[in-house]
Amino acid sequence: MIRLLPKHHTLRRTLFVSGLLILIAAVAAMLGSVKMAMSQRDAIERESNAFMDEQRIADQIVALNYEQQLAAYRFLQRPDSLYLEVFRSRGEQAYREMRGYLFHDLSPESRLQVESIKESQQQFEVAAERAFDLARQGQSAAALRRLAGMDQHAAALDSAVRQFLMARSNQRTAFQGQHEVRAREFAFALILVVAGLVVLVLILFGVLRERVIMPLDHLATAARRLGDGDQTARVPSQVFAEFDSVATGFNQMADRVRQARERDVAQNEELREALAHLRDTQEELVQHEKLSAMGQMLAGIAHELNNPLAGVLGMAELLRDELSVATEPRMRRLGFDLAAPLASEARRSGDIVRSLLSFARKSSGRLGPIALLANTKVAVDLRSAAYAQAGKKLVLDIPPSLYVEAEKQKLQHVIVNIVNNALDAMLSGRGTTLRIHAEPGTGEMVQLIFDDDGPGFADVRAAFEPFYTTKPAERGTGLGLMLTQKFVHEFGGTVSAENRDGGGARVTVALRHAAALTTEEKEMPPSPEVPPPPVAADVVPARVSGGHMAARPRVLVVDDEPSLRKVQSRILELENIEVLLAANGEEARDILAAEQVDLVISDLRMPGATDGRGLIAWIDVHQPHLSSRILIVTGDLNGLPTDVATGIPPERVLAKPFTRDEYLARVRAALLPAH
Amino acid sequence: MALHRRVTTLMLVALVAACEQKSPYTFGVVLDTDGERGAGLAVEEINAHGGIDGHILRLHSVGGAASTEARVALQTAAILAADPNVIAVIGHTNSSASLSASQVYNAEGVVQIAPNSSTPLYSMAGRYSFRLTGSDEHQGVFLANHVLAMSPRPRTAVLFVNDDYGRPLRDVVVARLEVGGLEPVYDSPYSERETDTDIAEMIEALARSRPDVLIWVGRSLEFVRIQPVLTKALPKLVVLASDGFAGSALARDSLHALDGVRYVRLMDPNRKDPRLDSLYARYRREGWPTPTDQAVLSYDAVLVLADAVRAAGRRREAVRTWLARVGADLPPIQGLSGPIAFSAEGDRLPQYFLETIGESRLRPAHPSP
Repeated sequence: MIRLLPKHHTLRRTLFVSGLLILIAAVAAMLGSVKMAMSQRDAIERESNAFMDEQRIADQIVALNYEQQLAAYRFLQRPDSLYLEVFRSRGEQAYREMRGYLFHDLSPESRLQVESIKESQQQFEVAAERAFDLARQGQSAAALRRLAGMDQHAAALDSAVRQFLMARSNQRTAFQGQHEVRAREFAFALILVVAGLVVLVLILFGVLRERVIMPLDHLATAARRLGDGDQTARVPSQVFAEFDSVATGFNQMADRVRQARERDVAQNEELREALAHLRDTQEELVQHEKLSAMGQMLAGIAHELNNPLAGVLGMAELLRDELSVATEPRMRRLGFDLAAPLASEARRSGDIVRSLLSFARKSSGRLGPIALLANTKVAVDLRSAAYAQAGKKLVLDIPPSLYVEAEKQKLQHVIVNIVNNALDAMLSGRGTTLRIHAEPGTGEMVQLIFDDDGPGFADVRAAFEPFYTTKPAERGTGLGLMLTQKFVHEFGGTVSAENRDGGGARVTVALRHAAALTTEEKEMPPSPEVPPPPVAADVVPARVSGGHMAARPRVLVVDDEPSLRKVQSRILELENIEVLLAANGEEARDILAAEQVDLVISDLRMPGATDGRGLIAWIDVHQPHLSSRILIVTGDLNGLPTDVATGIPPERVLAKPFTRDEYLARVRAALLPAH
Repeated sequence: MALHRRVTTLMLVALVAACEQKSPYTFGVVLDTDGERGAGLAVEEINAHGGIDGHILRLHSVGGAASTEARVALQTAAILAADPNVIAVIGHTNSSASLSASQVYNAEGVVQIAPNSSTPLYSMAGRYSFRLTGSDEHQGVFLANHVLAMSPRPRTAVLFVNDDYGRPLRDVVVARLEVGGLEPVYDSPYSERETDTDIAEMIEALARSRPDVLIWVGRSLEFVRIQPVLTKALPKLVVLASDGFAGSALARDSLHALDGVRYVRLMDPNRKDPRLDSLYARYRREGWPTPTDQAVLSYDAVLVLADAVRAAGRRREAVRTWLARVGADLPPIQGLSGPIAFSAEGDRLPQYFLETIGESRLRPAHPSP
């Protein structure tokens, strides 16, 4: 039955039909049962009434007949009208009973029996009346003879009554048998009806289970799975339209939920990435700010160091030179043992400060061919003292002809970061040497390789992840290699990390190869920090001959540092150059206004209303013939104005600290007539 | 050859006619010879006029009609009721038999028209029971009033057949006499079984009461048996008999022993009706005795049933329904015995006439009071 139901029957219709069927069956069964029961009850009642009537009639007839017979016999014994009255009244009553009974619905057998009783009674009455006649006539003997006839009819009447009663008894027995059969049939019918109803109920339950309960269970299960996050939870198609509609709606809802979840996940991922990027950017910005601040601070420190260093270096060299020509061996020995090393150390300090200034210089953001060796050396110089102090070695093996596509400051940051990391790793006790070497890579790439023999990376894969570090919190942020990777990617290169087979770590920076300085690069003015043509330290400068200079050139030295004014004055005077000194811009202007000079050597940053720039501007206005005879000596390379802004060519700028040779070389160049 | 062809044609015509003949209608009859003659003549006349709507009418007669025994009546009724061709039954011969059989017919749904059964109990027999005479409730009064009208009041004796006919009628007669202040000097039953009644003893007892009038509530056959003794014992006795007295015994009274007996007739034998005259003529032609009331009423019973079947069809229930309407919303049927209409109990409105045997075989009857 269940399979016969077509698809998408409505639940309401099926329940209605099923309920109607059961209702009809129940009503039919009830009506049938009631009808059977009533029929049986009526039959029993009818039969019972009939039996009771017949029994009553039979009893009454028998009684009346006996009373009638008794009255007859008594009358014959003693003719008393009272007996005659009783005789006739009883006879009349018996007749009426029988006659009335014959109008009942009787079987032919019963009817015939009653008719027989009636006729026997009538004949008995006739015989009795004849005997009565005789008795009334006083013919007692004759009357008694009539008794025989009366007895005969009485016997016939009694026989008829007995037959009637026997027949009734038989009918009662038959009726009881029929009643039992009916009762069994009724019970059987009831059993059938109940069984049929049970089957109907079972069928309905089956339909409900398969078409209602199971779909609800599927729906509940799918809803629970969906609630637990199972995006694949779906409800199969259902038979009943209501459930199918619910299933379709649920599946559509589940699809929308899945799509919404996927959108949420994607958006969350985007947000997470954006947040990470933002955090990286923020950290990067912080780091940049820190680096920038550090650069500024380094620049300030360098500037402040350059002035005393310039004084120390100048004085040491002067002292060395003076002692080297002393006549006493002891003095020459002092010059060799003390003054020369002093000058050498001062010069090295100057190099370190220069490297710091170069490292701290603000990034230009412009990529270009960068000399790999020089810029690597700048970074290495910054950390060489730390390596030496830690007992570690820093080996540099880079061909000088290699140029790479990079931005100078960022490349130096990259190298310093890697060098720092290697030193930190080796500070754990293992490892002694960091070797930096370069070799051509695949294609147009150059590989700058950092090999150490330290402990290696604990987790190579996480080396470039932000905030990944194995250092103590006070020594590392975990952003160094991340920034390294970022800068290298900006150069179009790659960076990788690995643990070496023999122990230690290797960081490989692959940079695009720039074959050499381009024409544009060559035509660019030399960078201010590019040192002047080297002058050997042990070469004693030649005295200025008159052929190269004016008879006795007059040079104005403007510097707020007395020691530097003194050193420069001493160096120049040893070269037979007349020196005028000024401690600031105002004094210089006054001197220039009053005296003729061939060259102005000025510091850039000076106290007072007129610093180096102001003085240059004043000279451009008031002593324009000296505009090309100005030499700027400064310890603040970052604050150095560009040639475009000031018109001072880079070769007229000398960075502090400087050696005597460098100084004189620039001075001579500036005093050349061509200038 | 031509003769042969003509014979063949005639045979085919006869065959077609036979095939086209409609099935006959059947009425059951349980009547004595006189009643069967009357019914038979009516059927003959109807069929002579084409039957009932083309259906010829025939009678299904069952023996034992004259018996008053209930057993015989019941068996006969069962036979007729079981015959599906029997549309209705005309009978039985006497009240006792009609009353016994009526319960069978009512149980089986068969219309019974009793031509001359007059027992009061027949009014209660059932809705399938009709009769062409009134209840003895009226006849008893009629008889008693006739006696009470005599002056001086006669000493009156009552002899009644102790069955369903005589007993109720006697009760009505005696009750009416007693109401009129006349108590029977002798009142006794008799049995139609010859062995049951010692005639001499009964007559001796009757004579001893010295009655002037004997009200005979019974049939003439028994009276014929006692009449010689009775006449000898009571030569001046006036005998007043109920309607059951009519019957074949009168026809066989060639010695006129019954002359002087007054008995109740259920119809006016002298009423002017050509059909009745035609019936008498037919009887004379046939050499039959003068038709009794039962013969005429049986004739009328056939007419009544024929009209019912003609109007309502052959179904038993339809016939009963139609008969119940006669006298109600349908006009009375004009029978040879006069207008026929039925009361709610199926009884005919009573009409009684008193005829004295011997004064004239067919002298005018006295109309009922």
